[in-house]
Amino acid sequence: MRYPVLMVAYLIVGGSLFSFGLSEFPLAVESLDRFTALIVHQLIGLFTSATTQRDAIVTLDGFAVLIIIECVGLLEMVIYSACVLAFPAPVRARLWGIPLGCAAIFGFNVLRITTLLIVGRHWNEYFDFFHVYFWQATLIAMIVGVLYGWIKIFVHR
Amino acid sequence: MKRALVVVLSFAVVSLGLLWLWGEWLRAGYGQLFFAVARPLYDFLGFEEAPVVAFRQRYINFVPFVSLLLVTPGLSIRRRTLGLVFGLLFIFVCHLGLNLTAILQPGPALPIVPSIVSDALPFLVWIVIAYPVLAKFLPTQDESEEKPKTT
Repeated sequence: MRYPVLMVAYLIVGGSLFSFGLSEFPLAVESLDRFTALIVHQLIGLFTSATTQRDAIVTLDGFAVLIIIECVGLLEMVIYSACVLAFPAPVRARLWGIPLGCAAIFGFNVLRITTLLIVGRHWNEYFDFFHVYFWQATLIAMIVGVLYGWIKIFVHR
Repeated sequence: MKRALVVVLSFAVVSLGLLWLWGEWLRAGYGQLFFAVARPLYDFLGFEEAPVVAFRQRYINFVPFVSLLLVTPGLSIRRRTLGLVFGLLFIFVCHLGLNLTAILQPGPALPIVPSIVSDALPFLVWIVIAYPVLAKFLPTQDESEEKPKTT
């Protein structure tokens, strides 16, 4: 029971810091939204020129999405970091695990938004379904997957 | 690797099916149940001013919990069944508690910290229930300690 209890404690601390950051540094939050939108735009731009980006809005052939703070993967990173910090692993493994795992989550999140844009553009009637699905189910899958990878690579090597 | 891929694919299939069921029927039914329980309970506890947002999107966290528990390999049927029953009940109780935090910040969305706890909830409950299987991933005492440097 120690692991889940520790994880909840780290979640509350991490969540409180995150909440503080949202209220105290709104410009940084907006920059992160715009940065995520830019990366999604660049990724789609590799395959088609029918994409635009303005501030935190990305479009694909006329279908637009607005990236808000809940879409940039920070909540997932807080949850993942709490999992890593609570895990009984060497300090060095944890120090590597947090930034690398967060980068992986950011990458998965960019893919998630890209997929949503494609679904919204080509199968618009399924957008809401996939939006909810990619939010909750893949959130868990992402965290479990990255955590599994971290344990395999850094803890059990 | 092949086994991990099967687990991931099973998770995708089960969670997609459950999400469809949730959207079609379960969400409305759960909202009615939540309202029927929450309002009298909050009144009884003295939280008359607490809003009861019975149809919150975040209550969908039942779906990843059930999916995770169903696809986890190596769990006994008894543990899986009891885990489902007690896990669902625990998540329901947590929804009642998390909904109360709307007193602090009224609106359609939960405050940030309860949102994070809510999103992590299926994962946490799954860890507790599937612990016998997941414990295999925990490092041994030797692994969890930093090896002393030799000179």
